[in-house]
Amino acid sequence: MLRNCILVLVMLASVVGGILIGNIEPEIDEAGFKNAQSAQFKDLSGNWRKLSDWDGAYRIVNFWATWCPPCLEEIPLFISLHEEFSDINMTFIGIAVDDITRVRDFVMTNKVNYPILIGSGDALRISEILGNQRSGLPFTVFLSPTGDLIDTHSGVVPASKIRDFASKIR
Amino acid sequence: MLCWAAQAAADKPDNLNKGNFYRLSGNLISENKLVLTYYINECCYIYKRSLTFELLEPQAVISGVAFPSALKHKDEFFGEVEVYRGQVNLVLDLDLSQGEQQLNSLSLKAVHQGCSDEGICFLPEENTLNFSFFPGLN
Repeated sequence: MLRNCILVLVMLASVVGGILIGNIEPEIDEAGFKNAQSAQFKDLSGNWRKLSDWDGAYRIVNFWATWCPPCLEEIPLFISLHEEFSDINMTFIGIAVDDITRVRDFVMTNKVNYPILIGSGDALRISEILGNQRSGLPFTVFLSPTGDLIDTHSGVVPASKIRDFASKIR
Repeated sequence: MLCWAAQAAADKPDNLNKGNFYRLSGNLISENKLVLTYYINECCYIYKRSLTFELLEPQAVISGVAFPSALKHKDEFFGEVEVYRGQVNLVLDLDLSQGEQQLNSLSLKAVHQGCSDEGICFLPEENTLNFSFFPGLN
């Protein structure tokens, strides 16, 4: 009886915890989610990188494109917050669903100060595995140091959401 | 005068994007005129400048596109741009006289890109519409 009560309490705590931490989608396939973090994308120097290269750090992974106005709208905020929170174990990573020339021009013009990777349709598919159910941009996923899902956001991320995330790390 | 008419519908589910925000159909209303219709969900719009069309047969070319008037839309980064909402009809003038052989069918590649009002944009989407010619119809 006592064991059953403890089990129910643990399950209840897990559900409530998930709701409090963020809008975790229950239908995300856990194995696929981890595998997606091993998908390789080239960075602007032509090196192959994957999200798991940043294991050990909290990650805010933003899928974006230069043809997507709301994506461009939020990038200055990411640049500013990446600088502001440079003293904590958290990094922004941008994955552009776009052409490398246009991305490079944008990154240089706007002095983007965090890692940018380049993908195309494959990057969008990875975003879908990570929870982008609407297949649109921008889409942002918040990862723990072990690559577990903490939260996702479709559309422009409010600054308050990132500050809350950072404050929990600090 | 020998007239031709054909119709191709591209509104099967495969041609809807994942969010079901857009649908495209086409009618070949004469031997040299094609009407394309975009049906755009009320949540969304497509950029006029994103619309591109190409005939896949080398002996056929698009000689003109009549765009209906578009709505003004203000983008923070792109400034004032033109967008379409709701149902949009475009008329494409075709020149099929580029080759010696008569065409029995025609394939059109159409590309568009759009966003939703809540600030989510969708990858440029490509549709290929296939048309067959049937002689004697007007």
